Amino acid sequence: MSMHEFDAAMTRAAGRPRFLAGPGEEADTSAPRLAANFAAIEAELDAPNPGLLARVLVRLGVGEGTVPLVTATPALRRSFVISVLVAVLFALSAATNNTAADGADRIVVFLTMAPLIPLAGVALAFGPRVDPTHEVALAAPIDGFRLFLIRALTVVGASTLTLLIASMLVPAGGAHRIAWLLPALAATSVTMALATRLDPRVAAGVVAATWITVVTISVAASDAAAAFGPTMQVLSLFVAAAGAVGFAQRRRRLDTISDR
Amino acid sequence: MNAPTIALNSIHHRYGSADALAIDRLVFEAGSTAVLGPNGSGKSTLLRLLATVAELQTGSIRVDALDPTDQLERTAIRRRLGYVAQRDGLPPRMKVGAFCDYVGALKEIDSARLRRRWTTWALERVALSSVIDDRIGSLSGGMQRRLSIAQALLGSPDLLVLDEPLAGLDAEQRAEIGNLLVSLSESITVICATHHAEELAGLCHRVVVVDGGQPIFVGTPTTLAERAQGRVWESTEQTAGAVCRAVGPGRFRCVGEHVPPGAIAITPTVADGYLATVHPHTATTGV
Repeated sequence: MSMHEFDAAMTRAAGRPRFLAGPGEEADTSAPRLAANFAAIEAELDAPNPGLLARVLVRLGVGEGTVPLVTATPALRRSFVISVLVAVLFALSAATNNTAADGADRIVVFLTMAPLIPLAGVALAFGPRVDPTHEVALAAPIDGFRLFLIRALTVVGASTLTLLIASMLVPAGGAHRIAWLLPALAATSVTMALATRLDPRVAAGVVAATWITVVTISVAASDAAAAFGPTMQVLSLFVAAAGAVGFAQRRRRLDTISDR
Repeated sequence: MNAPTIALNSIHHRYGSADALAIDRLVFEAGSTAVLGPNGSGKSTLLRLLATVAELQTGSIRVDALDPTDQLERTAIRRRLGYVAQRDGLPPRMKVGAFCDYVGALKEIDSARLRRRWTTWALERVALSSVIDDRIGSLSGGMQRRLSIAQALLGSPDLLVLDEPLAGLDAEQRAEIGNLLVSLSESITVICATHHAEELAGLCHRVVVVDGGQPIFVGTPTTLAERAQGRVWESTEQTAGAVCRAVGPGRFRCVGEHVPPGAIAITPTVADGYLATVHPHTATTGV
């Protein structure tokens, strides 16, 4: 809604009962200078005082209409904090346990667990059970697909960045240290697609269980290097693409609650 | 924009295998409509459908000419809508102003300055301006309910759908919010589910009584009250076969099939009419 539309709404409100009169209605339009002064004072009083994160996001080019959806989303705060916190713990763990003997095992555990962190973030970012404002958001004109995407990208972006830093601290593995990246993308993408049908937490649980099973079988059949090798990476890329297509195709299901 | 009319046709809604709502035809005109009904009667399901929150399973809904099953038209409806859900849906750790700012962003009010103006305006409407910087969790239940109404008012909607707007409010607050909603309904469409037959339904233009998922009465509050004409009396004891509620020490107001010998019939209220309508032993039902 633009300032012009706001004024139009206020003009409509003028025809409504007195208590509905908007803030602009008080100005005396017969005295333009006085009205201008009032407008200037009102503008100063109305000027919001955004937090640090909001100011940073605006500087980065994020629209004013999107900033509260990132900074103020109730469910997002928790999922954001949890996913980043777990990623930081990973980083600390990787940095402090750097003996060569357990390096190989540690890299397998790291590569297996890392994709689950953004997954957990997505699971806790959306849905009626984790977001008290879920119904209010559904009844609002914002596109459910866009809202989900903003939340998911925020959480996944933050946790992925933290995990990348953690990867650098893992003592062994060389280039394999970032072999979790595409599987994480695939797992997140499939979770988002499944979340159009299931509770996001259930969807994440199903994907996590499947991922751990696949890795366990792969590691048992070969070794860690092979398990997270090119085959896994290419497969992850395909799965990520399929998940993204599925999510996009079923995005309208995020606009309402199904009682079926 | 004008106050919209909402028409429902051939609605059948189920939760799993359980029937929740069955409506052949129901129209909500501009003005205020109270939806009354016992717990579990389908009121909230009806309101969630009207608010386009619940997916329509069968039948059709039109908000003016707009079809909520079409994505673009659903968005157009939501641009005109203010909604208060049955459960408050308020994040307790969030501040009042930040919450309104967030809902403003959900309502596509892109300018931060404009959201601030709407927030100030809406909070004034429900007498919450003084708590704009307080955390929601620190507010009383009544204040939280008023905050729910404030978020619904953001953007000056033409259609307000409110599920139990008076829940948790004290008598004075109920009167204030009742006055607010009735005044709003002079220029927009207000639909509210309520258990407060006298304090809210009695003030509305129309009343819909829902029971067992079906509308069993549609009419004015006066017509609803008249359904209990000659069937209401006061007594010093409860009467078998009648619905009696205490109205004072040793005094009961009863609604039955007919006034028993020795008792004096009194003028029925909307609440009496509602009881006579939902209670099969006390009145004949039918739309």
